[in-house]
Amino acid sequence: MFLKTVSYDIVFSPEAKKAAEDSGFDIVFTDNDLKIVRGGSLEKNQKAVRLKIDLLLDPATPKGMEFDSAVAQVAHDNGVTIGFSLDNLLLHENHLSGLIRNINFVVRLCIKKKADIAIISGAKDKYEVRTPEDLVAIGQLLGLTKPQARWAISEALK
Amino acid sequence: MKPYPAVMKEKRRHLLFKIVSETKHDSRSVNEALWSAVKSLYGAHGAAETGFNIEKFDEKTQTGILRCTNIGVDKIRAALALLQRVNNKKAYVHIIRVTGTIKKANEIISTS
Repeated sequence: MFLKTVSYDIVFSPEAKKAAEDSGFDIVFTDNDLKIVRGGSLEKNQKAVRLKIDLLLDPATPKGMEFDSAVAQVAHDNGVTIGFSLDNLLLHENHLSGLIRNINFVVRLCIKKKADIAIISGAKDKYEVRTPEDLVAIGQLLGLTKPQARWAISEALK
Repeated sequence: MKPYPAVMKEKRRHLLFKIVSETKHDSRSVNEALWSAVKSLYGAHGAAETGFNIEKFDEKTQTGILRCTNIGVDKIRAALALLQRVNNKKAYVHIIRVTGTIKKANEIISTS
């Protein structure tokens, strides 16, 4: 109804998978289906994009800039998607302004270097699951345009 | 004073929402939680710009209607997606439908 394209999500528990399917996602992956590495430090992010994994999740933290244009370029060259999870935003609710600022920076670099961006819920229970429309709105909050945010929940994880 | 022409009036949207939680909540705690979610993300000025207002909340069905401007819909969606707790209980806001008139929103509530 919402998108004519197929919408994707990644969750981290069977309970959340069922809830995500009920909330309108067409295909829901768990962490066993894909090669996912959770980023954080610059070394971790650099290593992850060189290993040609499927998804580098949450490369930004509220503390500092752990991502640079070289990492974004290698991610583009190796076909690694850069993912941002709602779970990370919920986890750092007290440092949200710093986290959003750093994610905005990463998003700008990814757009410049044409690296793929994905927005996922990353839910661990049913209370962390959101609808595809909510994830599009979160994508806009993180610095994407509406078409880019729609692409990030549909085409990026195809 | 002349009234504004129709094209200059801000267009409203009504969001039909449901609180999904471990327990049932009263309208006062839901009101507080939604306002604090929007204010903590955008501040008082940002919340005012979106035209955010809670129209009504039914404690039995835990559904309600909130109002905002048409350009503020995505901002409100993002703010409510970041809400984790209502009255210190795990909860989330599920937006069922966005309508243009409150009449249509009321019809959807009464039929569901």
